[in-house]
Amino acid sequence: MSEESRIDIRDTKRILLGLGNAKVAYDGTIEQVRDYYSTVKGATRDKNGFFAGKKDTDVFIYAMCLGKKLGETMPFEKDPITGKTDRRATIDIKYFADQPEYVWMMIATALEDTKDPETGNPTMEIFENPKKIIEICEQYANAGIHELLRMADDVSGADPFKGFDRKLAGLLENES
Amino acid sequence: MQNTRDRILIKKIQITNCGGFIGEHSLNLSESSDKNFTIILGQSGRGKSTLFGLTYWCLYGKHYDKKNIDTATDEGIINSLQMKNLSEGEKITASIVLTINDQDGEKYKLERSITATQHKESSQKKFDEINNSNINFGIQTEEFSKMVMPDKYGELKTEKNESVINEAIRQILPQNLSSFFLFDGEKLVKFRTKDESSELIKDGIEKISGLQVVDTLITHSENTHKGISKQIAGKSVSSQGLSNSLEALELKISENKSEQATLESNLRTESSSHDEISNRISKSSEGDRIQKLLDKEQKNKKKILKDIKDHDKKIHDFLFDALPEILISDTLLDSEKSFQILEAQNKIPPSITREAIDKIFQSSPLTCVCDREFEEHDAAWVALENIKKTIIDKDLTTGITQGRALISQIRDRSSPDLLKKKHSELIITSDTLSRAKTESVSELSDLELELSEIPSKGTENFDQLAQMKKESFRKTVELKGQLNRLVEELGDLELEQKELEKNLTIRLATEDKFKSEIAKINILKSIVKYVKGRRKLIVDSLRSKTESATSKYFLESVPQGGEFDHVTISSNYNISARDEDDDEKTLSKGQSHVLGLSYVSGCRQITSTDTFLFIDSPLHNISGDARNDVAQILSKYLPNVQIVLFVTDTEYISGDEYGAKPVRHYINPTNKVWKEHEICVTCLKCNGKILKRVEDSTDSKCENCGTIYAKDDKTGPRIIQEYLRNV
Repeated sequence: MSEESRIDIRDTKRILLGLGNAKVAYDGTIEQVRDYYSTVKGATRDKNGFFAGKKDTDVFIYAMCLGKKLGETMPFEKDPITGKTDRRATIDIKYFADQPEYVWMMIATALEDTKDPETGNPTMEIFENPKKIIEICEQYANAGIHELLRMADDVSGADPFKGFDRKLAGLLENES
Repeated sequence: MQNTRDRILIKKIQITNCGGFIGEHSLNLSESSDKNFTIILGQSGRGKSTLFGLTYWCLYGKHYDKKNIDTATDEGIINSLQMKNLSEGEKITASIVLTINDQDGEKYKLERSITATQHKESSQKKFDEINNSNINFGIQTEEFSKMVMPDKYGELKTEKNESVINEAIRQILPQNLSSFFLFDGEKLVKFRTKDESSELIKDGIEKISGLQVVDTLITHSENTHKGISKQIAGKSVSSQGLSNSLEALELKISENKSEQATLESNLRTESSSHDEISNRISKSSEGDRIQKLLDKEQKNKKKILKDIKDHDKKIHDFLFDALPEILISDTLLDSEKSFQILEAQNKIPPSITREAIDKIFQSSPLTCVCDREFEEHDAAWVALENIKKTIIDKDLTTGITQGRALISQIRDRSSPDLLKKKHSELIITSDTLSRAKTESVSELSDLELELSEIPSKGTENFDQLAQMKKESFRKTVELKGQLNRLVEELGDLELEQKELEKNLTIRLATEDKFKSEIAKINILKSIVKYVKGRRKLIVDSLRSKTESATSKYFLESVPQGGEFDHVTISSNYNISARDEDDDEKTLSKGQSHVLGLSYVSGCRQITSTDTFLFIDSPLHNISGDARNDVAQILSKYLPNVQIVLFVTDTEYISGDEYGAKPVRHYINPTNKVWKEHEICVTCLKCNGKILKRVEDSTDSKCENCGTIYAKDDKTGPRIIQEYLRNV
């Protein structure tokens, strides 16, 4: 994300080795979610949206950060007819390797989520079972994507990214 | 420089029984470098263009204006009157002979002829390709060619083999470049619109480059590649679906391209119309003054809009980077604490590596990073030993250490105060730019209002012109939008196509039986890639050479040249004259024609030979000042090149009611005209009597019998004579 980063991405790749060929997923049962992820890919790519020229990893991280901020997780929905979930595992974990910030946002999120419930102390669970990182982050992203959809819909004629700007302004107001 | 280039010129034209001419007529053309102009003048419809077309036919054995069964008339190569009067068994031969010189003197004498024989009487007509006209059903035509040319020992011989003749001519006067030496003045009109001029320029540059061969190779290789892919995909059940998708995609791509071509053409037409309206608006001094202010303000607005666009991108980048970082900020803070706890519990190593601890152990005296000295095996030593033991995986250590540092960096830069400051700076700039835009828009509408209130002598008042301009601008923007969407869509489709092709190749490569075909496909792909690369280099280089040569001629000759700095030819062959700020200038009709002539000169300059230049109707369809502009440059046009102008008498010896002066007015003082020939018509009744033009009319009169002929009336045969009248 930022050019200030001095991190050697090879180190991030080493962490990712523990995840093997894992793929990060979004919920394919929900049409709007499916559609939104498709705006960063192939012929359905949206040239003017907030994620124009960006990748599905960006959408995922945005959704995850929103979910985490809201403190909400959401499991994948079951299809009312088939009773099955549609885990669209299309985001190859290796695509995160070039964005160490994203990986560490995911690790930090998962680390906080795997604290010992009794002592409140952090555990080594995610380092021993790195796939847990994906599992946790997916659930946050699955909750956050709905907020992201709301933000994307909040546009004004002059400012197509009003929802995002409003969100940032709100956060800055509360944080300072 | 000019003298080192080879020259090719036509010394003499002899015509017999061709077009409106009966019997033999000959016409000598200038061979001189100083007096390099020969003028052929005649009233409209008297046979100038026929003579021009006959020259082309003689050179290439092909008709300049090829007719078909629907477009043909009775007028062809052979004089129609003579052919009509043929009795059964009689023949008539029409011929044209060109004496072609190079810098060393006479090189070839080329003759083409057609003989028509009346075999039987018939009242019916048929279309005859050889004569390029409708002829009597009972007539048969035959074509002959011969050329006196030197053999390999330099001895003159008469060659009758048509392919040998054609090849020899092609060597010195390539047919695909013929438009650069047999130039139809009507084409200059095309330089008034970008649409038509870009077609001409594209065509010209590609012809000069000889790219047809390269294009054929690319098309052939791509088709062969597709053919092989299709063939093997057809044999492979598993690839059938992919192959079908690819085919559907190719269809979509081709539809997109054709839609783009239509839009591009519409856009060029609309842009030209916009330029034309602006031009009309600036036709008075007050209009011109306000138009200049408008141009300046439009430039300012353009800059503001660009700044806004750049700034919007900055805001977008800021939002994009800042939002997730501030959203996750609390979590990152918590994780920093968690990492500290894990570190304290020795579950993860501190932010140091095993090598770092070894360095501490190697220090003398033993000193910790906190400057505290310690001894071997004391408590500090043991603690360090324990820490070193916990560093079980160097990679993980480095990874986590770096990750913690990164988390800390993100936290630092996503400090709410810092982000708030950046955010408010961006908002302030945004407001400033928005205000500047509003001011500029208001200034523009004030100027437009001012312009609309200027009274006009034209058919539309300025208000109407301003409305028309606005509407034209709106359409242009709309078309640009549509075009951009299509270009983006094409980009996606091509990406998808590449992906599908890759998948198809991968799928097929897994099947051993297709190995040899896959190898062929890969070779063909490499050929296409290489050739396309070379093609681009050739075109770019020629475009750039044509651009600089055109620019040179244009700046030397264009009236009010001080307004211009250079000419550009864009990658899609749009030609434009620009000022020193690289802003495109609107051209008047005359200036557009000069641009066209400059382009022709520019193209000729990059070929190695100074070939003759015949221009048919150089002032076609322009009047008034615009005509004066072009006439002026014709007089100083291409020194040393044999120039033959086919002009109407009104173009050459009288002006027009809109203030145009005759070309002769500009050319004569330069002393460059070698001879002026006139094509005259004779009276039908009085054999050989030349008709005189009735003053201020297009009618002609026989001074012998007093018959008046209207412009389109049938007259006696044409003759060519030296123009004797003084102006």
